[in-house]
Amino acid sequence: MTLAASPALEATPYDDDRRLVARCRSGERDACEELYRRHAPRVLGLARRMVGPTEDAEDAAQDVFLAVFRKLESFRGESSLATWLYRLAMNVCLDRLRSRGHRERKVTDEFDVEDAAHVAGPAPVGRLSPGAAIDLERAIAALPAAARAAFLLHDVEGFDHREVGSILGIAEGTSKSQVHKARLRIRTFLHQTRTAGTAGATNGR
Amino acid sequence: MTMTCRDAESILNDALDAPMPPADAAALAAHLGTCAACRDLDADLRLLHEAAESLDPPVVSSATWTALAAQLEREGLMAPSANASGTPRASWRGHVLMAVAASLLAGIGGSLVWRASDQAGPSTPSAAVPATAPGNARDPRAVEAIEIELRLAAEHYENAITALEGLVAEDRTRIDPAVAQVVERNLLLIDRAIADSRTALQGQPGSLVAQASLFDAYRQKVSLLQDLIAMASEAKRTGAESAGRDRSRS
Repeated sequence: MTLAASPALEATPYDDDRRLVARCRSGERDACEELYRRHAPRVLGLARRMVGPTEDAEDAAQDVFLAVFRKLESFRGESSLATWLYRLAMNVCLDRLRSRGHRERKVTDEFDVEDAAHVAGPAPVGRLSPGAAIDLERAIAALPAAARAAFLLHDVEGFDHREVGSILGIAEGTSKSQVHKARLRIRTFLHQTRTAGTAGATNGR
Repeated sequence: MTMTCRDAESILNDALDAPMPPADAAALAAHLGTCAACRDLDADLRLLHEAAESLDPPVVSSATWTALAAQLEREGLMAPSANASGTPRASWRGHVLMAVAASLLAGIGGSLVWRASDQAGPSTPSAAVPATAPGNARDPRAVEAIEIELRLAAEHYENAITALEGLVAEDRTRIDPAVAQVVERNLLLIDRAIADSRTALQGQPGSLVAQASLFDAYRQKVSLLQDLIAMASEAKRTGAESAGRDRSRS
């Protein structure tokens, strides 16, 4: 977030967001485009990682921004525009997952107890290979929706646990727990991928 | 009290989010000194945390904005475009974009192992930033110059991509099929974004969203192809090492 630079007055949080939103509310085209350009890549990234790298994600991102522009009146500037916008985005994504009939758990669900037992990788992941970003994307895609949402918001998008809780409608402690377990699951996934890759390279000779 | 691995796991996770209390740090250091598994966990968690932070946002197709803008206009939520007829609109951002593209292209020309990065901005020559106010950039000659520069930049990218695709084709079979599938899907998305951006730029050459989308897509495609080449090399190296070990055993 950028604070307004003023030598005389200290800017209040989210001034920049409020100004941009005010211009958007008046229908100013440049402002609408500015809001879109600021947030579209991250919203689309979130949509692709939540609902899958399909056209559905593009549609979801478009739905998010339609909802944003239609509901701008309800943005009061008490939180950052990003937090408000991501709350809408996450709702759109989770609605899509539910309407697809995925048997995803609710965001507030906890992992099963046995999840915690299988997270300890017996060997280190080691250095990240050139395809690490792709492996990481696959590991994220394999997470349950609740953990995926918390992990994406915290570790990828950089929101703190309080903000993640606000976006997902969960307690701060639940956010911590979900992110914690997501990291361990990802580590296990990457370890298994690495082991399988090494075996494949040996067998494929 | 001795720290358990379960305690260490919890503290290591928390430490990624906030500084550790000194007492925890001391107990953790003592535990890590004696536990190789937790040292591995520590290293992995840090590595994964950094990797997650550095995941690239995807290329946004300019078609998404075009469709959204049309809908917002229909609903009266946004003023109609003043230059809907396609009048080129230039601004300082266009110049900066070109300068960034130019600096990236210098990297492509020099070496095919260049790594695409959005951090090219700070190295942008200051001379490339226009001294005039944005409004002055509507000079038709300046607009024409920008269009020519953009076309040239696009051609350079396309040439580099063709060269990289040739290299990838030679080694594609070495790549894990599951990874290759993901890459293929990503390449399709990027190609669609490139096509959409080109179409949008034909209608509105001055569209900043379309310009940014096009060059983002080019950058991502180059980066993805370079990753593919690196992955194939890694697979080749791993296979050769395994073969060497097998030979020495037998």
